Amino acid sequence: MDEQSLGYQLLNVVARQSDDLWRQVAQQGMNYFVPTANLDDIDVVYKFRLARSFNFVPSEDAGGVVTFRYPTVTGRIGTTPYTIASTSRNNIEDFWYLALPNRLTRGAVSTGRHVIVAAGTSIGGSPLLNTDATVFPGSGVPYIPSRLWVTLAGGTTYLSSRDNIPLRGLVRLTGLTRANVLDSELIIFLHDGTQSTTKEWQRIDRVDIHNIEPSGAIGDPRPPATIRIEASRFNDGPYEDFYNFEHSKHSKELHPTFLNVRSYTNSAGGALPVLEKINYIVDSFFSRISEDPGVLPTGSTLIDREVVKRAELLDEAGVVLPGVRDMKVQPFSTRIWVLDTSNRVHIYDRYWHYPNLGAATAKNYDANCFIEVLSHHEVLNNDLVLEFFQGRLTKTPVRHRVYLQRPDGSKAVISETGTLDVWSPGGGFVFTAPVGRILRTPATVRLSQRGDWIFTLEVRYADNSSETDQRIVSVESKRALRTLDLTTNGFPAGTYTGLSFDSDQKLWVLDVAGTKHELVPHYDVMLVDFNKKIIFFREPFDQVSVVP
Amino acid sequence: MHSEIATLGTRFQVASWGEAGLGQSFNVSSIEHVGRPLASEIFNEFDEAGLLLVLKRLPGEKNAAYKRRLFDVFRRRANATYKGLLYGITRELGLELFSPFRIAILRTAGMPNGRNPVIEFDGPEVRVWADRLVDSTPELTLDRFDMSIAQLVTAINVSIYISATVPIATIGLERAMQIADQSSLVHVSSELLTDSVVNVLENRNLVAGSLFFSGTTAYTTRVGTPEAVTAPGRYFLDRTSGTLISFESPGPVAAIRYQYLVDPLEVVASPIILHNIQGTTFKRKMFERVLLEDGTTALGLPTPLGTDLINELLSVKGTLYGK
Repeated sequence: MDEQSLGYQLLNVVARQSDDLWRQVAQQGMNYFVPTANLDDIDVVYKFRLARSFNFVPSEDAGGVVTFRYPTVTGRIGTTPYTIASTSRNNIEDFWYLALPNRLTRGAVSTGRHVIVAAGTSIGGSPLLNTDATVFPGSGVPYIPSRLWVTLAGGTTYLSSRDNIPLRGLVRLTGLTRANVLDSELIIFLHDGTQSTTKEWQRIDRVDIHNIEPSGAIGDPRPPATIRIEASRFNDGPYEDFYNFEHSKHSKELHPTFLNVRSYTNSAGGALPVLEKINYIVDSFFSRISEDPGVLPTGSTLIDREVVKRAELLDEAGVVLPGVRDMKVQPFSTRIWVLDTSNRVHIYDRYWHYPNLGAATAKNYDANCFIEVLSHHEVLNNDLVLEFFQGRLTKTPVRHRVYLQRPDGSKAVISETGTLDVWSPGGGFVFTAPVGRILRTPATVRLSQRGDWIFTLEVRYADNSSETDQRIVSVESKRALRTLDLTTNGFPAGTYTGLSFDSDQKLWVLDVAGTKHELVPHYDVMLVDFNKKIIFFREPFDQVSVVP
Repeated sequence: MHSEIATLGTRFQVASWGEAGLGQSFNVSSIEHVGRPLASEIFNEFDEAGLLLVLKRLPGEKNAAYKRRLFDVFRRRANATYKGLLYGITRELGLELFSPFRIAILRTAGMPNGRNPVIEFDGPEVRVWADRLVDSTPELTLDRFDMSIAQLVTAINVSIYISATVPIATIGLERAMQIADQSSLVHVSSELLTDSVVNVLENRNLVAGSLFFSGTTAYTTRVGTPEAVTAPGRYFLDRTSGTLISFESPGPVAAIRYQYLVDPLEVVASPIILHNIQGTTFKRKMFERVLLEDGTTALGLPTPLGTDLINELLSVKGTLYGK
């Protein structure tokens, strides 16, 4: 689909709002049930009731409406003062759901294992007795409350029959649940892939695997299938989980898409830290055996992946990140947390940039001659190939020119040989005749600025009529809403390699030594009830002082 | 006062200010209102579930902790039994059950060292049996009342029939009385059998001599091997796996009563210690033991602990009866 067509633009006007609405409805649906309800919903606030004699300072806005000025508020924890910020709209959404953390602290620290069965472990040893079970996930240290992720790879047969009884691939986990109950859980596999448990586990004693081939049986020359079990997924993207699901449930596109970060090499050979939107190509067999997009197989021959969009990642100051290690989508939110190679975490929104097509002022949507580009979304210093075609051979082009406008407003003409020449209002036309439907040879342009590039093709025909086609290609970048440095926020110096949300929706960061540190965000914001003279806080300050 | 501020802008005059006298002026913008904010809970979907489950959010309790308590209502029902009280009180106070250590049956060459080795936590007493069904006295009797968990584990590991895993350091320092009363011997009063010659029971490690069948004549003579099940009434029992093999199907209304050993036993503990003041073992803690002429003992005057508890109970009596 041409995303710069009129139809696409028409749909796109309501797409984001529709998607947001769907997410909110879905979240409300999940809130009906305790197991799936959003733990980040507003629960406990701290309120400070001002004296009745306290008077806010009135102020008058440009429209003559008299309101009150926000008081100057300082909160103290111990002897440390924190300046409290007001929110832009002074409502609960800004105060709780859209507020950004302004500082971090280190919460619990877990030195327990999060990898229960290492990647590449043969299923031939089933039952896999976890000899080190007593130290999973933590021996005396707080463990990360989590469901487990079970990954099977290299299996060729998951469905079979014995004595006319159908058999399915099974993995049975036995151990101690988070609720301190000795229990077991059965997971059914129909193909290679990753599935999560429904129970939360604090210890696994035994793993049994049945009905999966190759099983490593004696005499079978095939390498056996392998299994991996993890309590948290650090640095293991792309994450095919619910919260990383990009499309709404009702999207007509069958292909689920997910986000991931990595280092991308652009056309200039530079390494860019990018956020990628990855599309899973699913064949019809997959559609038949599972309708659950959260159970996508990875590494299976059934599917493939393609990157449909990517954006360069910048920090809060607009400086490109030195490199990226991991990302996680915050549950029930539009926030993406990214860990970079300088031990900083960045918070991004999950929205993608769409250019304002109103900038293509000269575009004739029914133009006979037109530009085609492989992608309307590129990253810095990538080469863009422009192709030029004639749609219907009803008119004869006699001359044409192609020029571009960079994001900084400067223009250049693209010559027939592909070089960039100085732009002038009437210059740059070429007079070569089209070959078949090809108007002129393709041109390659290196996109050296971030922002929206406008490419214009002007064609003059033999009947003295003229047409213009325009394409806007965005050099994508995402600027962090917030950047926080771990080492200046109380985390020990070292190398941090991964992020993971636990089943309590708390964020953990993994260091290179395997220790997990709970990352506790703090929000020094206030919500002011001017009528009742109450100020609400998110943090449990020991003391607050308020000056009108 | 408000009109004065409005009149004077950011400054106003105070009519009286103690020893400072009249005529002092203050800058309104410099007056600080100082205090401590109080936690306030916002009703949300978890509180809705709490209404249904009769479990209110505790003051200042966050969603994650509250959710766990809500789940706990389903897992551990509160009632007037020992377990029910333990579960209910632990949950209502926002505390959690925990597992300080595990107990496993010791084996030699795959066979248990004892015929039916059992551990029982009964008030202040902990008893270890080599064969709970036959022996009249336990192998070990421990008084855990003043012990730490680590000390209790050391004492248990003297046994040659069972062993306990070493608890982590912080838990090891807790009182051993936090371990709830429990036993590794469990009684199943009735389990229905399927109408099949092979029945796999819900539990393993069945105790020999504890089985009783009802509603069937398919199990009258126990034999030593599955191959020996050659005539009606003969059956084979694999105690370890809980598998029953009979010559004929037991019929649609057959049931079995049995006991089994929990191995390993995941010991359950709670920060709440429940004492049964009617229990024989705890009465010995509350009252002095007096030697009688016939050589037996009887309960005498209250011990200091007993005195404290009796006074405590008397002090809440009025509250209970609304006085």
